[in-house]
Amino acid sequence: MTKSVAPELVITARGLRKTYGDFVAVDGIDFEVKRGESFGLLGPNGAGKSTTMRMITSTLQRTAGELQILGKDPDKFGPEIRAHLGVVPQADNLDRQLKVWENLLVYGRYFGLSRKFLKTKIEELLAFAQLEDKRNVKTEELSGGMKRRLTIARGLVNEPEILLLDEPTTGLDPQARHILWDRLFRLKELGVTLVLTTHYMDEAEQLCDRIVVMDKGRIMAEGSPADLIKKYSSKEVLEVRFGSKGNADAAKKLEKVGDRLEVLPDRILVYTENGEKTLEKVTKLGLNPVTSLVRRSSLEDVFLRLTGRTLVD
Amino acid sequence: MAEVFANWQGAAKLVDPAKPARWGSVYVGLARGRESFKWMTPMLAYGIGHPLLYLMSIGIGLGSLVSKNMGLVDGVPYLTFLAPALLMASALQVAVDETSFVVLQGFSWEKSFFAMNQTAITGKQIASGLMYYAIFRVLMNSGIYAMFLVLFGAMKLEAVPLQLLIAVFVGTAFGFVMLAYSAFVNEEGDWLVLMMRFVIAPMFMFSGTFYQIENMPDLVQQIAWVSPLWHATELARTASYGSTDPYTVSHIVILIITGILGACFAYPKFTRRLAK
Repeated sequence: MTKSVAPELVITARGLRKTYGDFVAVDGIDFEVKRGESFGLLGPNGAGKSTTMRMITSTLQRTAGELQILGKDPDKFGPEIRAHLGVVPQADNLDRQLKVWENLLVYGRYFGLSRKFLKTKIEELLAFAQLEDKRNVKTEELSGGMKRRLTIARGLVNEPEILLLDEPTTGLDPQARHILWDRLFRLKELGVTLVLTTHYMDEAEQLCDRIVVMDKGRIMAEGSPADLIKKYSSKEVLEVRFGSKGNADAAKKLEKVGDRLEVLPDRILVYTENGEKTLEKVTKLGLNPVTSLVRRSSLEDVFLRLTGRTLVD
Repeated sequence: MAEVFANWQGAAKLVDPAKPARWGSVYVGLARGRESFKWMTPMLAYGIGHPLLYLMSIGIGLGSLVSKNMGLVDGVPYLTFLAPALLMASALQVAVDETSFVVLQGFSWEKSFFAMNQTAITGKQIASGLMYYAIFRVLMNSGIYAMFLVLFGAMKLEAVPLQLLIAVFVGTAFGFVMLAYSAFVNEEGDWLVLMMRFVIAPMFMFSGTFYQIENMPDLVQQIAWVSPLWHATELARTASYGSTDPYTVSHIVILIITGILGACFAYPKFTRRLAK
């Protein structure tokens, strides 16, 4: 008989809190991340995602609460924990005076990795970041997207147990984003735990097994993207526009159509199980929207439901 | 194409945290060296040009004037009197260079210290690493300087090792002070510019480099006592041509205290600033 073993927790946070004077950046949050899981912190700017991330990276001390990373307290064992993490910060902090390959070498040395190992590793990482032909270029001469790719590659130099990515694809073009997602999937297959913050819903849906939705330093909801959508939204959404002047009047007439309404400045969202049928009802009411769109519910809708705001507010 | 995942071992196997814990400061020093060597040509030009210009213009030019009118200074020719002081001033300047704007760059401009701190490297190791490289540069620069002093007959070859030791001593002591001060400076670096203009530059004028402070008003003599450069200059003169100085022990003690005070502020500040 095989004995079932609970997956190892690599991150545990209980009542995690960070304040700067009177300002509460993270307000007592609880979460756990299992080994091999892909975990996302979703929320708008200023939600406390990056602060939470910095506490997980063991570079920012918490004000209160408990935090365990790889079974250790980061306040006491910061360097030991960081030795096994890969960090991709929001702002690229590459060494501008050094060449591309030198950035990887120097960073690898900070983990105590040998030059011999790094010689091979640098080649692999240059290929990963598609920067083979830029190896001898100073990083200050790279484009934004190239810098981002190099920063991500740099975060892999020590083959981390947990890879922490703060807004990983900001500044990347759509093709580069998809390539990166593919690479991150492969990392996950190797057993690497991924923790990422993002305000892109598609990214969270694509990459994360489980997400927490954060707003104003607190966790509003937690679950898999599908579960969250199921719990907090309907199957489909009908988006209708009546022009900025017509939206308010139309909204009054639409109140009994669909399960729920969200009136935004530029459009009305009608939450429903069947978008096409709902659109028919709208037309029968004598309303003629300027544009209409039926789509599946997304995490954006979950966020809107939970906070009353869109992610890009 | 090399495949990044083909030989993946994982950090648990690959990285031994004991290694960066032990050698982290050295890694930081070496990285700083790699950055700094991109400026090798101007660095060497400064290292060679500075002593050459000073020795020719002030040492020999002004020296001949002083010798003609005053004869010996402190019992030796003016050039011999001047040589150890120039060496110390240069050592201090190099130490300041390596512990001022470099710190601002790391904390504010490029945030490279934060990148280092994302790895197993600690704030203390970053501070130590910068100091290691500062000391290396002081030694390298002072070595070139001393070579010229010997060539110009301003210093005996056998005096050089002790001179280099004192150069490293003052470089370390004041380097720590600058390291601490720079770690408190934010973004624009205005306070660093003020330090350069109103502390460092006057220090070169009031530390008995070009004349004996005994000839100066009491106030200037008091300024000299708080100047690490003056203490180093006095030590270097004693070691170079055996000038008599009843305060040798005081100079050493004051420089040690200067260094310890600087380190006491620098190390915790580096840690705190990275953890903000």
